[in-house]
Amino acid sequence: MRTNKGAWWVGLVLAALLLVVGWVYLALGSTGFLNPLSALLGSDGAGTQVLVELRLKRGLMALGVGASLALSGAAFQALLRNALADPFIVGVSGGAAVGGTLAMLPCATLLAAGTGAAHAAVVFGGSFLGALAATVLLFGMSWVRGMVATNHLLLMGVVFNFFASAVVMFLKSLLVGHRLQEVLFWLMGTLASEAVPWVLVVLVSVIALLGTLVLSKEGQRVDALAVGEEFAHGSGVDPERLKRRLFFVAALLVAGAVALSGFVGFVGLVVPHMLRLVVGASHKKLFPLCALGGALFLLGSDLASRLVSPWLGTQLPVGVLTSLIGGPLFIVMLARAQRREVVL
Amino acid sequence: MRLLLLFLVVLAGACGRTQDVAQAPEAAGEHRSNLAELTSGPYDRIVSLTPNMTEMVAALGAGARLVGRTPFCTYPPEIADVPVVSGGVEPDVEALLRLAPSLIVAQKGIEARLPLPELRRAGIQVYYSKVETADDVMRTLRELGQLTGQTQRAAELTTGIAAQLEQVRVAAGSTGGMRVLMIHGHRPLIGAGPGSWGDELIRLAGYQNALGEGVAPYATLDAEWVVQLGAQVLVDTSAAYEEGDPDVFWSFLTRQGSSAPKLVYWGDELVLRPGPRVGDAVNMLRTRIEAIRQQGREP
Repeated sequence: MRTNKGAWWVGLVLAALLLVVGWVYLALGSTGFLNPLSALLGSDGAGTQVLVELRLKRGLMALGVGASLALSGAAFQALLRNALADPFIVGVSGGAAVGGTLAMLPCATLLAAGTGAAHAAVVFGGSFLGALAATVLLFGMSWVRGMVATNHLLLMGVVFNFFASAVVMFLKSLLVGHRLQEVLFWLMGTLASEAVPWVLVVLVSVIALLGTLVLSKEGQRVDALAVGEEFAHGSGVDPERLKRRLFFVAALLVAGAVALSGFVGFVGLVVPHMLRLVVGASHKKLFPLCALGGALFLLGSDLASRLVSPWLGTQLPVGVLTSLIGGPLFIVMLARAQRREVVL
Repeated sequence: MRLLLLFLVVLAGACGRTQDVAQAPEAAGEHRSNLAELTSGPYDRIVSLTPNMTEMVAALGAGARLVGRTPFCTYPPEIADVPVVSGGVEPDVEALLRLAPSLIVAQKGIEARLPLPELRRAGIQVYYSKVETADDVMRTLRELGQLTGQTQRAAELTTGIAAQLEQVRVAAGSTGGMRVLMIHGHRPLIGAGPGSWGDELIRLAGYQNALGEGVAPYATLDAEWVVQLGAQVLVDTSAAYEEGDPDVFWSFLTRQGSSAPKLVYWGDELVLRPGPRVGDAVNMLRTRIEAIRQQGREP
């Protein structure tokens, strides 16, 4: 039996690790070591600029996106009662991909006449709207006799993703040159922040924070839902209302994360499962820990990606690295869970 | 021009170039093309599958023999009426056969996408050559000269290019090697690393490529990496087609104060095409960088 005390300890360890990794993230980079404190206090002119405009912005992106992905992964796993559910399974991400790719078409970029930051905002907006449109569409299609049919939602999400993937491939075939490269890198998952305005980074961080608060508040009710809808009814929980809330909050988290950084894989799958093995299935504990764990996982992965890139001779997209780490890690976790006869 | 950039980047990948090969002397030329496999020309119906080959054929005075080109072949303007037969990287074989050329010319790597035995049976020869350095350009011009029967013109062209490059080399002798970084795209940030055409131009112009050994030919960089390189001049070849004001994009660099590199925005295709205008490209690169070095900004 896992206790609340254990979850607090895990939370403290994650928070401490996040502080340490965050400090190293700010201190180390291609330009060498910077003392984050003196750079932040402004006593190191060029260093302050590198720290605030390059490392801090990118680091905040990693925190917001990582937390959003891990939280939405945990939420979808509970909603769909499916261990393989991740932020990209129910089609919301497919809508984001179509919206973002459409926004990178030459005609759409006319909207961004002016600055590169406006272009980034148009791509973010296109992707975010695409995700929201897919959310509404999928929700509407899985709404059967006043209920969210989670099986329908899952199946339609998978099918919609295939459809969206075909649309994205078609759009890619229309693109050439730098626009094609931009789409490819975005789809791979990137935290390149040069052209991303601060306001978008803050927006996604705020969505992640609000998502953490809302989902954590619903934690106990989600536990009842995870057992089954009848059990939830018996426990005084309105399962339909809860499913709607879970779906929309998770979809909003995915929309923000994908719109900002493309498809960063495995964060939403590995982090919730890893934490579930440590602190158990209580969502009241799991959701806030997922936010911390997801932020830590992506921040650490991006730190590794940034530090290893000069040795590789080219930048390693962080989405590639999270998949390279996450894939084997998930298999190891699965094998250990099987040995301990624990269900993921 | 951005089409051309993608085309060249894909081509560089297709060629699977290594540093050793890139530095290989012209004497190793026989390994860098398939001239020895071909029957001697002159060939009278030519299809070009790469823009630099199109330029070379036209520069040799054989432009009138071109019966097909790619949409990326935009220079010289006289070839505008030549039919477009292929997207370049994925040649349309049916369209090629319909034109009944006697010779197809392409950069090395494209031939892997052509059904060579079938083309030979149809009486179509395929010439391919690795063109990644100025020496490659001059060797290919000579070889194309043989295939088109324009050996005299080829000799004139290569002598002219060699003289231009020598002139720049002599002029560069006293100024020392400034660190120059060439950028080919903003999203993602792509830099010309060792082994790229941009690297060749930087070195021929008498400068030092800020992206040193161990970096991929077309490396994806992050902003901090660009800052760390400490380039004195940054040549942005993508400023002409990237959305937004390049000055705003590069503000993270220019706010570095006195250590910030001088910016040169050069969207001319001349810089991206390994062809017979290599002497002009090197000359222009040097002129623009020297102007900015001496005056602090571009005239």
